[in-house]
This record gives sequence, structure tokens and C-alpha cells, in this order.
Amino acid sequence: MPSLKDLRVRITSTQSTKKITSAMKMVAAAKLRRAQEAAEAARPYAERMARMLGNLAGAAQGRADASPMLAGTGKDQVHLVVAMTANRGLCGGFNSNIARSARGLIQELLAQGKTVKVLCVGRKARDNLKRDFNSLIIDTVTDFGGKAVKFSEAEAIATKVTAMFEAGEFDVATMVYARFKSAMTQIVTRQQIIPFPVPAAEPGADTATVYDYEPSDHEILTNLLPRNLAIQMFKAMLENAASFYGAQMTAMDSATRNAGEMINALTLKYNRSRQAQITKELIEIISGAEAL
Amino acid sequence: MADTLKLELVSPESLLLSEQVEMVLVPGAEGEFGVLPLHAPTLSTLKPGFVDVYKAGAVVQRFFVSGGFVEVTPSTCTVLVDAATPESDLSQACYNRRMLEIQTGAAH
Repeated sequence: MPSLKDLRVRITSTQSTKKITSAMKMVAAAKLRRAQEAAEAARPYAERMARMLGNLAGAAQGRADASPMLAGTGKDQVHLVVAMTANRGLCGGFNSNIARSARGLIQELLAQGKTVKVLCVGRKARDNLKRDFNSLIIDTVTDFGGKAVKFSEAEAIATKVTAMFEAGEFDVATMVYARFKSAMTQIVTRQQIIPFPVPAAEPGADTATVYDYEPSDHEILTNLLPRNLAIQMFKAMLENAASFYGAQMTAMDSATRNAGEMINALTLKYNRSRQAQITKELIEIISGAEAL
Repeated sequence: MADTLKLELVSPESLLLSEQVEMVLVPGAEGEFGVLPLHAPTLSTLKPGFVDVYKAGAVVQRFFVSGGFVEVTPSTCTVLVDAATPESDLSQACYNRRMLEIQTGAAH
């Protein structure tokens, strides 16, 4: 039976935990809104980029000199898995869900006899994958997403990946991240980024239009593809950031609720034992008086 | 009658401009070119320079862009840029620094 003092200490400590989690929830909610806005602001660029790329790719398809970023290297022996998580925890199952999906993917590929390399984006990705696949992790990127995800940060990762691809270090790249659906649900998604799946031409789009290319369609394409990779990564990172804050908000909300329940239960116990003690003291006094 | 075209200036972080304009001057990789309504469909890369937006025969807005792509159709002009700064926000020193960055970056 814990003493009254113990109970009082536990109640106070639970109360301060509750204060912290509810503050974190509030902060996450505010940041979630900003992250969502950022994700929406990035959408027009990605859309137009996809349209332009579809246009160009249609023209470039089936040509012998098509860029390997689009057509592939002709092999699929070496796979690169880009696992994207957050840098921080306290967000429920967010990081471990992504890590689990990445782990599944890696195991599938290994079972097929492929060589796998892992690029971790986010400290938690490395922490989660280190135990099983330490030897496969080639690099970890953690310096991103201070206040908001910046395009230059995505670009830096994309440049790294492009350089590796051009050096022939892998044939196929897939990234794993959480797509933001709502504050409650985040969908872990695997997306192939190299070779880039050509977006199907929209029906009724002006595919018949013949464009003038300056300097040449090939050159534009070689410029556009690495940029597209950066955009895809930027989009994934924004989605991830929004998902992270969504998950954190939900996790902190339930933590706050749990703390509240715990405080109620502890207060009840505290009051009961306080009353029991008073009753005990009274009985002692009365029986002492009666004995006289 | 098509006497204006729709200009969209988009950077990865936001949609900077989306409106009807009279003419746009863009710094194409093979020389600056003006885009009027009913321009032939064109895809081009951009080099660092200024995008000028014309309305009623005069420049109403200028943006410094560090590079990107432009897609022209007879009725639209979509400019995808890496980063764009309105000229009014750009000091001479900042301009020089950015130009230097881009040039040294290209020299690597």
C-alpha cells in the first residue's frame, strides 16, 4: 500500500506529464497545418512537371539513346531502398510503420536474390533498420526539416542518388514514406523513382501537338529527369512531415487522455486512503476515551 | 480574340503567379525570347536571368530566376523555376552573389 505522500508525488508527476503532452499536441497541430499548406503549395509544380515529363517521355520512348533514368539500365540486380522517416520520435507508430514496410521490402528483395542497398533519410530510419541490416546501409541523411522542409534539402539527397545511379551503383530505386491522408491515417507507400514510371498521357491531352525543343528534347530530358527526382523526393518529404505531425498529434492526444484517466484513478485512491486513515485515527481516539 | 495568354510561374515551394498577361520575356537556354499569344508550342530550358511580365505594353513585374523550364502552348505559358525572387526584393549585392553562385556551380 503506497503511502499518502507517494500517491501525492505520483499525481503531481502525472500532472506535469499531461501538461507536456497536451502542449506537444497543440504544437503538433499548429505545425501540421503549416506542413499541410506546404504540401499543397508544392502540388502545382509537381503536376506541371509530370505533364511536361509525360510529354517528353512520349517522344523519347523506344529510342536507343533514351536516358537510363527513364528506361532503366536493363538490369534489376542492385536495388536501392530509400527509407524516409522523421528525425524524432514521440509520434506513435509512425516511424516503426515505415521501417516495417522498408524491412519487408528489403527482405522480399533479398529473398529474390537481389543485392540491396539502403539509404536512410531521418534518424529514426537508421535506428530502426540498423539492427537487421547494418551492413546494407550505405548512408544516412539527417540534416533536414528544421522548421520546414526546404527544396534545397530534397535536392541535396536527389543529387546524391543521381550521382550514385550514374556511377552504376544501383539499377532500381524505391522510396518508402508515409502519404498523408488525414491526421488519423497515414498510408505507408512504396514508390519507384528510378527508372521513373512514365505517367500515362491523359486522355484528351494535346499529345498531337508537336513542340519545338530548345536546345533539344534529349537535352531537356537529361535536365528534367534529375529535377523530377528532386521534386518527387521533395513531395515525399513534405508528405512525410505532414504525416509525422498528424501522427504526433494523435499520439499526444491519447497520451493526454491516458494521463487524465490516471490522475482520476490516483486521486480516487489518494482520497480513499486519506479517509481510511482519518477513520482509523478517530477509532483510536474513541476507543481510548471509552477505555477510561 | 486571344490577346492575352495565361502565365503561370511555379517554384517547388509555391505558385508565384497565375494570371492573364500580354507578353512574357523568358531567358531561354538559347537566348531570351518573348512569348505572345498564339506562340508555337515550345519546351525550353532556362538559364539564370529575368522573367519579364508585360501588361498593356509595359513591364509590370520582373522576377529573377536561377534556372528552370518553360512550356509554351498557344494560350498558356508555364514557367517552372528552381527559385524565383521578385526584382523589388532583390538587392544588387544579392543579385551578384546569386549570379556568382550559379556560375561557380556551373563551372564544377
